[in-house]
Amino acid sequence: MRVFVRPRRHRGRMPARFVHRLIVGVLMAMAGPAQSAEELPLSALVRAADAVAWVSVRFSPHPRVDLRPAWKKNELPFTDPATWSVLCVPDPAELSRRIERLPDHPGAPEWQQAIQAGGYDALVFFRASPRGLVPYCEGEALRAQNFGSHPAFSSYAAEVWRRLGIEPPAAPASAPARFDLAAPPAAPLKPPAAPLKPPAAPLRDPQ
Amino acid sequence: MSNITKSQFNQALSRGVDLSSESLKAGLEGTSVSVAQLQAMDQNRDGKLSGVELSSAFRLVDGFDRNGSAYSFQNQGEAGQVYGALLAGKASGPYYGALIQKAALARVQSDGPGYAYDSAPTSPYANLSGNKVPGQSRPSWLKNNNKCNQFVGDALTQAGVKMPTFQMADGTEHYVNAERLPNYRQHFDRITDPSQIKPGDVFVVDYPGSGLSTAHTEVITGYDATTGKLTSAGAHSDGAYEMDKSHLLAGAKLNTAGGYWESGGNQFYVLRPKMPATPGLVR
Repeated sequence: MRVFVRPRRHRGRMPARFVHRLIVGVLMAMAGPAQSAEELPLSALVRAADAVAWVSVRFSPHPRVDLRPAWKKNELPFTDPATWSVLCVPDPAELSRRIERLPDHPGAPEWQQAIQAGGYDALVFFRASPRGLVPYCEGEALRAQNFGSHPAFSSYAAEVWRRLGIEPPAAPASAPARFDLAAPPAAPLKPPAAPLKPPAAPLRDPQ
Repeated sequence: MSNITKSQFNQALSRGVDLSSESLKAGLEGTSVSVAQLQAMDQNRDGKLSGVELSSAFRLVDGFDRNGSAYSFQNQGEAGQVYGALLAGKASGPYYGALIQKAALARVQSDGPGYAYDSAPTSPYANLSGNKVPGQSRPSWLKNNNKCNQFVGDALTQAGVKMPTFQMADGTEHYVNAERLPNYRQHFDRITDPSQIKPGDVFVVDYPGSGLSTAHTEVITGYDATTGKLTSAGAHSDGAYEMDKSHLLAGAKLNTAGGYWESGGNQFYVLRPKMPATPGLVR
């Protein structure tokens, strides 16, 4: 029977270099998956936005996207949701991909909940394009802080209204119970930048 | 005050010190070191301190230091000043910036929409995973992915410059993520003097406070040191295009030890690509 005897210099102690690599590996794993993505702060999103809207996405029983503008800077129309980037307004395939690729991402609970709930509600920024208003976001969208289900959604929405200088608009009537209204900002507000429009008709009819 | 190790010293001066540099001469003023002293260290008389000659330069600088170590010196006092002068006289390597800037803008023109999150671009990198026909194939794995590193990698590749990659199990390669680029010292020099930023340099903005290993990278297409205006070309969620990114450097404070600027909790690196894709190729 062969017996392995650890060399004397390592007996009772792991080599320092191995320990160092182990620590670095653990720290890197805790840091989450490396992503090459721009992250825009809320200030940049607000500055560049031409509109902010509640977007309700339902995967089942029929795919449906409802849109209700909360703030609009101009009269440009919203583009067809079928053309929207799945980064800003993810569909079920995109949410499933994210869960598979980035299971430890901070946004993963919201992605998972959206799939289980058959949809989600989110506050989405839009900006002008030659075709009309298109969703505007970068890598920060993966955090899903703009999802109504996110634990910090209320403070996120409050910050959006504060930066826009408007009263918090009402949430869509069809919103789930967790889609709470943002608390009114404490500081005095400027007059609304643009009059609130009545809820838009669904852009995609149930199939 | 930071310590500079011998390894860091050699790394920073890896291209050597140009003994005819006016910046070196100016930097030495007020110190007890003369250019003639440095010239005496130039054993092969090539007008540069490089290779083993840097050991003599390191010993000279370390001699001013009292940190008790022969392998590092504190970057202050006369040691810091002489080190700063050597850095100012750093010999410059081949400059690929013009080619990189041209390639980046050409990729925006030819395939900008391909770099949108939902799309897949073509790539000139022959060994990229799924790139069966370089320049024509659109590898499907690039779809529904953020691609800022892909854009920078493709621009460098198109310019004939090496972008760091990692190998997949099947032997094909992916470009490394943006966050890791500053660590590739053989591929990039770090630029820490704003007046030295040039088109074709690559910036990386790292978001360490985000709790995620996330960073973004683009190719600098223009920089005016007087006004601080900085333009760059990079991949965004809706495609690759050029933008004004002056806000990234405005008001940022240089972290000398780290070799980056800090602003709003983020770290901003300016990297100068220096490794040709074909070893020995100088354009």
